Amino acid sequence: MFERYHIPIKMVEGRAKPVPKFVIVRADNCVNCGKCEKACIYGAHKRSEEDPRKMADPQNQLCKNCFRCVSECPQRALTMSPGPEYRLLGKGIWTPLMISTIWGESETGKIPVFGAGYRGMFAGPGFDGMWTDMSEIVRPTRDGIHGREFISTSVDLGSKPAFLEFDKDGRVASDDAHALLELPIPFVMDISRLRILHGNMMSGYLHAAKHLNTLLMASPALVPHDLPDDERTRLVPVYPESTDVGTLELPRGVRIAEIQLTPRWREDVRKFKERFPGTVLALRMNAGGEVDRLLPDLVDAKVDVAHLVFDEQGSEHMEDKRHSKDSLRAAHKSLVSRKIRDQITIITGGGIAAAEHVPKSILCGADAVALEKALLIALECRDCPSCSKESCPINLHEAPVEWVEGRVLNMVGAWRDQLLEVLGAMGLREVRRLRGELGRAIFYEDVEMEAFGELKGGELDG
Amino acid sequence: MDDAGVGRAIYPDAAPSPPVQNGFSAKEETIQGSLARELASLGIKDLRIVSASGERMLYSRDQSDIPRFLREIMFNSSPDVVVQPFSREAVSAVLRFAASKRVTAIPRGSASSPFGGSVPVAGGIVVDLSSMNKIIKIDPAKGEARVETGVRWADFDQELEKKGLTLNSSPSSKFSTVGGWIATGGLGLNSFSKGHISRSVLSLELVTPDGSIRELSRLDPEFQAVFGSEGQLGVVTGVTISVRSKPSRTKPHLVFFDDFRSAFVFARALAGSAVHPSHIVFESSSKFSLINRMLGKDHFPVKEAIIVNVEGEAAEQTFQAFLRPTGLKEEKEYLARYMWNERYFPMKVRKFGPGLLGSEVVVPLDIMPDAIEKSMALCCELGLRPLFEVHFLDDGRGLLLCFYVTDQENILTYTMDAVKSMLITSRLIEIGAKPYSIGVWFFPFSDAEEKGRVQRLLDAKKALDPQGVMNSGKYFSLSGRFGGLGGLAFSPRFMKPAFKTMLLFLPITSRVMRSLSSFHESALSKGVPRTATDLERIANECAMCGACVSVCPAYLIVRDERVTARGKLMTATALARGERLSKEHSDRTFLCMRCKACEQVCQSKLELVAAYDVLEKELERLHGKDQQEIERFIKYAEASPEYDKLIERGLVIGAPRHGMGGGTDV
Repeated sequence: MFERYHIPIKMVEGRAKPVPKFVIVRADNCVNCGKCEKACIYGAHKRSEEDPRKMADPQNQLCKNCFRCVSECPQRALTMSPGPEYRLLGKGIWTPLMISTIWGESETGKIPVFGAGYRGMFAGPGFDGMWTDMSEIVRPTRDGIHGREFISTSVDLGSKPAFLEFDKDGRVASDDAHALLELPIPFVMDISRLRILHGNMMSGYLHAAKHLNTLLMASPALVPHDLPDDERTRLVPVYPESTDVGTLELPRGVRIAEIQLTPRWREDVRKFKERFPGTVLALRMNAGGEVDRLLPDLVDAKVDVAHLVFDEQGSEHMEDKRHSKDSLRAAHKSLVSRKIRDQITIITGGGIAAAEHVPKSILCGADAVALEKALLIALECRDCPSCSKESCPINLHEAPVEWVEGRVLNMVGAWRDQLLEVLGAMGLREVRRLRGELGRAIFYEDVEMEAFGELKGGELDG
Repeated sequence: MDDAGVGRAIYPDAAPSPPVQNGFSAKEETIQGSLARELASLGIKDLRIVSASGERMLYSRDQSDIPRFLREIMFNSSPDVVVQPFSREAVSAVLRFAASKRVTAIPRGSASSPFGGSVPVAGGIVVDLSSMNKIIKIDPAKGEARVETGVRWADFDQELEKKGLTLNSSPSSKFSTVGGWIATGGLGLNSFSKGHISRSVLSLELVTPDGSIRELSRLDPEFQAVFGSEGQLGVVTGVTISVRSKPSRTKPHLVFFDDFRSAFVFARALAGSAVHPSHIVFESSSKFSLINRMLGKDHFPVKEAIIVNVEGEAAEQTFQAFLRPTGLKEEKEYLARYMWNERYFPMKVRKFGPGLLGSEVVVPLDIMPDAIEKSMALCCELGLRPLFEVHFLDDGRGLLLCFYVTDQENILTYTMDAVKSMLITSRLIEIGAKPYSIGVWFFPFSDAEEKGRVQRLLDAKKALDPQGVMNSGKYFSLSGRFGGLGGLAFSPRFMKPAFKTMLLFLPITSRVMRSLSSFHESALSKGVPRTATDLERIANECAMCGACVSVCPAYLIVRDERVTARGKLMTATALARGERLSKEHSDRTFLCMRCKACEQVCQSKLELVAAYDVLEKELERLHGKDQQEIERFIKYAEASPEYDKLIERGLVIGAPRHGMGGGTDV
């Protein structure tokens, strides 16, 4: 029986003291009139439970910065300022807003709402330099936003044949070389690069991967041996460079494995294909440099998946330091120009800090996205400059397994919902069709060129 | 909770519907006493009847805290019933009832006068008029306004200001009511330029004991008699009063003198000059030493001072031209402004006792310096350190206030000091002063009143209140306990010779007094009350000026003074004296918005909210705490449009409305 894909979300409250984005200060001239309680639709202001004659301290974490209480206070006793602790969260693209948004998504599983509208930049580096086509958002008819349930978020991992071959009897000739895996969401979870990983987290992530029907990439050394079958099949062992593919033993039931791009990669791939013909082979490589040129060779060598890895900020590790949006486009184009794009799957990892980065990565040419640091942030991680079990402000090692699972489910659920919104607004029925649809996006440099290219006398050309 | 002895709950059971006009909806106490029950059975509209002993207690005193034995032993100062009318028809009905029952009716405004005029001497019905507080009409074109009697001067002035107008003159207690000032002294700020309040009033609405409501114009023979009548003629319910445009600028000036005689020479010359200042005040040096102490720094020289308020640019230049040839130097503007601002808070120094006693008389300016010198000499003899304050009037006289700090916690000292105040007044009247107000405590000096004035009042009384219903047992004769003996003891016939004798043998008198009491000036108390004793101290420091009543949002809703700071502190005093309080009384004390408006207007700068916490803890121990009642009260308040209006206007008029004292930004 057909069962529609669904991510169950439920409220999973944080374990740590909230880090409020805004701090409301109630000055001494407050007359406890209760106007703020009436004004606040988020319930940040309440009378004290033990003495209803007094206002309780504002519940800052509920504040959405709408300023209604500030403006309606007859005494002008309320002031609001950005939370000092909040402002210190994260670094680079992992802004306090990104981090707290993930917290909210992981807690409620709902699409984030920003009280006073969009407060970010309209253009900027990285993903902020591109906009997606939302032309269908003004058309609520047809499927529109109400047709979300008909939009597919499934993707395939593995190579597809460029054409079908038939045998003499007219049947499709079996082709074992094309191992293919379908995921209901374009996310895989990758914990191989997390800065910290406790036992409960590992189990929680695995449960989540099982629940989501997606994959968990992890170092095989960390994987417990006594995993039940349904969890083991969710696992993608990520083997280090030193691994000898000739003697490698894959855990039972594993459907996809990942090895590193090394100088001897051709040899490794050949051995792997020989030894594990039905298993999807992913090759992990730092994006940039030679990779664009190398990709067609990978297709020739029948590599199923190319896992392009960027740093935390979404930049290449190589000297160019291109952002993943540019790097992915280049990789995608090199395959498209040879008409072999469908013969390999591209997974991108690193620098995925918000739900919007998923459709944007896919637009630039990725088939699927690997969630990494976001999985940690989902657990209320504050991305401190230094990290250890002892200094952890949220005692991450004590996080219960179910809690970890619930938080991840919520985040992924919220991200998928946002992906659906974007697809709906674009009028697309399938995430597969979004891949590499560059015509559906606007890039800042293109717009700048169009607007000012002539004026600057070709200065912007090169 | 146990509902025994509690009347119907007027709160609607379910969601709070918009409150009925004048309808307090907390649980009301049952009507106590036959008189109150009879009155209640009449079903008079627009009337709240107060009969429970706890709330009635508040009406047994006024601003002064007269030693108890005088108040409670000599007189029956506790009213039989208190009513709060909201309309003149209700007043009329109550007066008719009082006349039919041959019970006295005592009108009361905000009770911010210390003379006892609004305090019963032999029971009766107190008519609390502070709820008749509507400003009916302001007519800027004609320069007049019509108000109900219970409007407080501060609120009135605030409304006028919105239309570019201001009051002609006002009492120094700006939280007192319009009707209250008309019925008592009528002299105060700007009396120099605008004269007695009677000059500003255009017509009056008077309800007399026969129930008739009459409008008295300036031409009516009884019109003048109403002023200073202390409730002898009827209840003033409405007033038409002339107002003026607000001057474009006012500037107070402060000039110091080495001796008070030269201060008076200067002030009288100024009064006769072309400057025409709006007001002139003399302050004695001792006032500045206390103010310096209060401010914690010697901001002011400790000298005799004249404060002059000048309105308008032209007058300002005339004043400067007047000042220049005298060679005197005026103080910096901020000091002058500080002192001018202090005009509404004469009772601040009370804190140093705690307690303040004194005398208030009207003295011709010709003999003013002698009067000050002689009373000063007497005070020295009696071991007092007095403060003198003179408000210059338009008729060549001055309103002389002679205060001294006392310690009302020491009952013996306090009683002695109270007697001393009588001696001082007696001495001043000997010299030629007239009593400012009679009330109860200055009854011994009632024969010093102008004969013409007294006759006029007697004639009006005969015409308007022949039965003697209004505030009877006062003014013309004084009633008291022991078959009137208590009052008789206070009569001029008995008291005058007594005071004369005491003054004649002053050295002995003062030695006796000194040996009886040893008064130590306690340091300016600071800090938060922690114990019941601290609470009592704070209660004693309260000047009972009633400012807190006028800003209290809980009072607006409940109309029960027990919820105000003044009421709570009286509850605290009663508790400290070991009086038994009912559970309902205790529950009322918890009704509070914690808005701190009372702290803001408190001229004694008391830490009231902290005091409430201590008081509530004490009461909770005795009677428990009715959490539900508090919650209903809060809900009711929040749903009340009147409360909304009050909050929008700001509880404390003129107070800055922006964050103060909160945490700093990052």
